[in-house]
Amino acid sequence: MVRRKFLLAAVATSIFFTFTGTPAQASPALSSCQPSDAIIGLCGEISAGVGDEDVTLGIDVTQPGSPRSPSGGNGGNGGNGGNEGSDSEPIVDQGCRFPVQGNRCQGFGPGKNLPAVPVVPPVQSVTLTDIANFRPTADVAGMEPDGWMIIGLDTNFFADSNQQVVDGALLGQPASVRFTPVGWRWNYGDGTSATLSSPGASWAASGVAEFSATSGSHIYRSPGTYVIELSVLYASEYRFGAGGWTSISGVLAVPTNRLTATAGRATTVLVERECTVDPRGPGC
Amino acid sequence: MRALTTIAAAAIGALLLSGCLPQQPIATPPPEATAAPIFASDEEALAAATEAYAAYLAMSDLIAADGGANPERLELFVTADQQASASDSFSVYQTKGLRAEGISTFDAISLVQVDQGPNFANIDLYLCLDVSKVRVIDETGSVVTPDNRPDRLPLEIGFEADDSVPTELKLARSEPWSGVNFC
Repeated sequence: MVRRKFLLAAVATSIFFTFTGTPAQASPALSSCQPSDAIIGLCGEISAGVGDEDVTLGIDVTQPGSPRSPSGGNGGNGGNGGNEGSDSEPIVDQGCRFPVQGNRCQGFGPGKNLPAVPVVPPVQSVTLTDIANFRPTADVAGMEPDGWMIIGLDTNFFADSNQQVVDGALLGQPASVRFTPVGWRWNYGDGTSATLSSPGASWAASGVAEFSATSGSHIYRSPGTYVIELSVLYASEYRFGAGGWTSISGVLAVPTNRLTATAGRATTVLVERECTVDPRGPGC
Repeated sequence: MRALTTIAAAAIGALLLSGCLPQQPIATPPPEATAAPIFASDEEALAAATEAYAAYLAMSDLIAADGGANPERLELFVTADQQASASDSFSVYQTKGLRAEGISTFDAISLVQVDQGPNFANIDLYLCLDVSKVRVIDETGSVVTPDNRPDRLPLEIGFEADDSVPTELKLARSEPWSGVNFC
């Protein structure tokens, strides 16, 4: 039994070494976490924030704060039920070593049915931490009306987001990183937030009337001054020289400018003529 | 007969011209819909979402226990987007010959926001998904649960009510929560 486990460990190691030689699919998408993903260890997201200086990164989900298993080892409780000896064998390193389907991580060790590929010199897999010095330019968040909103009516929020390619050095070699915006996480400042899959657009660009509901609109319910924050979620890919793009596991969250706006009530009055025609008329 | 019709038409025309018919008042509709929303309260929305997630999770476990076979059984519980993600996920089970054994649970469910009208509802929630009681079994019957698998995951999920059946909630979003781990 012990010998078999050891063989599995050897297989896992060789697959890890070959990762960088395997063309990965480039399919930028928001990281989704289904319960079925969680069961086989495929859930996890790396978050990052851009400060004034550089990108700070941290792994949030894959490293829970409290120890899960009192039995020690690698914390595989519920795993090998009673077969304690195998827990101490490091089959797979932490982090994403077997990326599958773009930004997902293939979490378990043996890697059954993975295609056999030629072994290349061991090169570390590229993670978001490695591309920390590649920084996408922050997007610009906008809103309509600009700086104010009417309680009970839709306020339109949108962002100017584009795919960006940033050049630099990665693992000591010249490389490019391509950032593709895939999600827009709005914090509306009134206790609600939303993660949207589109950047939204102005009312004029959408061809709808002012105060219409749009994919990015939000309704405020009480008067006050609100600070609205937007983080744009980027999927990232890298390439060396003119090679093909390889996607990097995880999503990078980059904060944008803050919007400050005041919500008030609007009342309508009947006037004789339009106020633009007769600005001094009664009611105008 | 023809003359009578002509006279009647003329009379109505005269009334209209003289402005004696009551004019339709131009009312400015209030900005908020007056029809009742789907859920009377946040508590009701939370209860409905909790029930919907429990049903979804039970079906997901069932499919995982079957090695990812017939993932379309989730269709009743999720939107088309989520069905695609779920099918992708279960195809990993199929290609790797994996199946799950045990029951997933969730706790610490809390409401983020409810956005609803008379015929739609979007409910966003946080919850802790717990897969500690679920083991992964391979084709040979060996336990291959990943050692580095987080057993408890903070998730941000979203439900949408189907247009046709407003009270039927479908899972539209399920993402790992990127903030402080609350699980």
